[in-house]
Amino acid sequence: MKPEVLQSIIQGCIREDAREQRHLYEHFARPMLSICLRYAADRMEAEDVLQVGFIKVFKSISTFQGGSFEGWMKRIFIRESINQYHSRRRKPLDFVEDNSPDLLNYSDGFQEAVSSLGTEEILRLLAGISEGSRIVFTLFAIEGYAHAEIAEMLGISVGTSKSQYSRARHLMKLKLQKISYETGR
Amino acid sequence: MRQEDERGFLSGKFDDWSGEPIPNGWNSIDRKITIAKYRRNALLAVVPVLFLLTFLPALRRVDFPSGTENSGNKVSVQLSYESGARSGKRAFGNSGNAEIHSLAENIPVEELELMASTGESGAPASDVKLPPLDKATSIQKASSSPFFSSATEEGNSLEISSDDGQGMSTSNAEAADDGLLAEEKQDGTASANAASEFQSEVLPMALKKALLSETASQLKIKFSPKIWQTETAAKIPDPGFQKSFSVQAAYAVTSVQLHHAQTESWRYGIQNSRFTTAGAVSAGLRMEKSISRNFAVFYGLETGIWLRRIEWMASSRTAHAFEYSRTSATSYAVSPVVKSQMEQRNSMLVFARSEIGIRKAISRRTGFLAAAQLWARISSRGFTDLENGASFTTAQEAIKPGYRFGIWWQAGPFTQAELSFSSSPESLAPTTAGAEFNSRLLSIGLRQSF
Repeated sequence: MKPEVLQSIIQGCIREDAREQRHLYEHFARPMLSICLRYAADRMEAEDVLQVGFIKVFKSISTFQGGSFEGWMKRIFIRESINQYHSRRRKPLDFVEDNSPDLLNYSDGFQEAVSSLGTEEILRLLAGISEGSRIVFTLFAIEGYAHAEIAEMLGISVGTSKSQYSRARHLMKLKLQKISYETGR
Repeated sequence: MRQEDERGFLSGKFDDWSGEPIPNGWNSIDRKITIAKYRRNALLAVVPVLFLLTFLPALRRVDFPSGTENSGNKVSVQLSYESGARSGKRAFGNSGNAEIHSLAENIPVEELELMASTGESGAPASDVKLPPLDKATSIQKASSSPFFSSATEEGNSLEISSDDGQGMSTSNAEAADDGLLAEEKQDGTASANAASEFQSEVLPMALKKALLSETASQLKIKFSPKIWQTETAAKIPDPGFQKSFSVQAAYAVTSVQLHHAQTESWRYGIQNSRFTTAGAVSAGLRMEKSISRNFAVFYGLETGIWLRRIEWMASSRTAHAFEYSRTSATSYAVSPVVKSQMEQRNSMLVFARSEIGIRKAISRRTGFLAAAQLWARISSRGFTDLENGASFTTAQEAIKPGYRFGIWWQAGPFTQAELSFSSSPESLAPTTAGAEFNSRLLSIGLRQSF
């Protein structure tokens, strides 16, 4: 979408023009749904988060102060995904501390192995680990947030964020090794 | 490699991945947005109307009805005698006048007309000559007084007695014991007998004063116990006692001491027995608009009830309960026995409160808030469980500004908790004289967004 077209749509949404709001939804619904699916337990929950997220986007669009509009929307949907997760589970994210020395080895080919997988396979790898570790891994490795930003979003310390990423990485690596053994790769 | 090197290494994988969009996804969002828009517009229309309905009437000065009226009763007994010019003897003229004054608010006070007289003996100009005794009138007045049970005339004497010891006596004895008996004898002499201990000692002393010479024309004995019945938080006025006569000075000392004793008892009674509690509950609506990521402004309108309860001990005294003590050869101290009584005074205020403020986030879930408030009185009432308790006073002003500041915490996606410190609307509520407060409100609250 051209920048001037996007700006026109944003101004229309600020005026609460229903037609411009629909244009915005139709353009960003798919990428935002993909974000919601990374955090939600299932598609139904992701669609609920998508609806709530767009309502919040339309309510707060007047506070957008420039920069990447898609990045601004992503932050809203990620925050809303985490909030919805908290409200539905009615308990804080469980962050399991693990200081195993193996977690500190980052030259083990994990990046190359995971990068070679498809999106569905990556999500299946993430599905088996604890929710707190999964969310930190998603925010760090997929969304590209720094540990300081993740710590602020989740209300945890930077050290906890790093250790949760290490734990998720370790568990995904074990599952990859098991899959490789079973498939003979 | 380090962990930081893996940041975002999978970001490109999910850019175009989402599956099929949900059917009718926009319709569901559009319906919710439309409902939210209509609800917001309705609030924008209703809140100003509520604000005007609440605060515009309060701008008029409304006199609220006062509470219980104070009906303290003051009783003054004045016995005045004229002294005839006799030599070597105590003498009373034939113009004794006895009246009972009841100074309750609903009973008019009748006072004697005092005329200055120099007297035959050259007595001081401050001597007074009393009008002739109208015994019939006095007896009638005495009889009709609620404080004295009987007044009889025997010969040339007038006897006034009390059935509950409202004279300066300590017990309910017979009439002669409780009253001051003054009689004029056939030979022109007169005597005054007071059977009670106090009167029998003080009165003869008074009669021996220099003013009461044989040639003195008048002697005025003023016998004025001031008896205060049940009052709460009332300032005792000056007795206005005349001290121009040495005789009266003796009584004045007594009376002043009595007043001082009463005043001290009052002060003691008020300052040392008071327990006060106050609280408020309220509910309302608030609209909020985000200015930036961490900053929002809000406007709210609430109504509520504020209640204050004072539990204190009210001191009162009955007329017959006096304690005497002799402090010196010529002076006495009279102390009333204070009876204490508990009173519970309640002030209730129905208020409306409008506020406009700012809310700032310091983290994802917490922050500060500050607001300017406007309190308005919708109605108020003061009530006490003490019969004839002191009245309440309600301020003319029905609006007062206020403030509130505190912290908030996002308890859930649509729920917010607040802890705040604010001004109090107590000046708009009925107040009690002598009990001033300057309190604040510490509040906790929950807000649900929709």
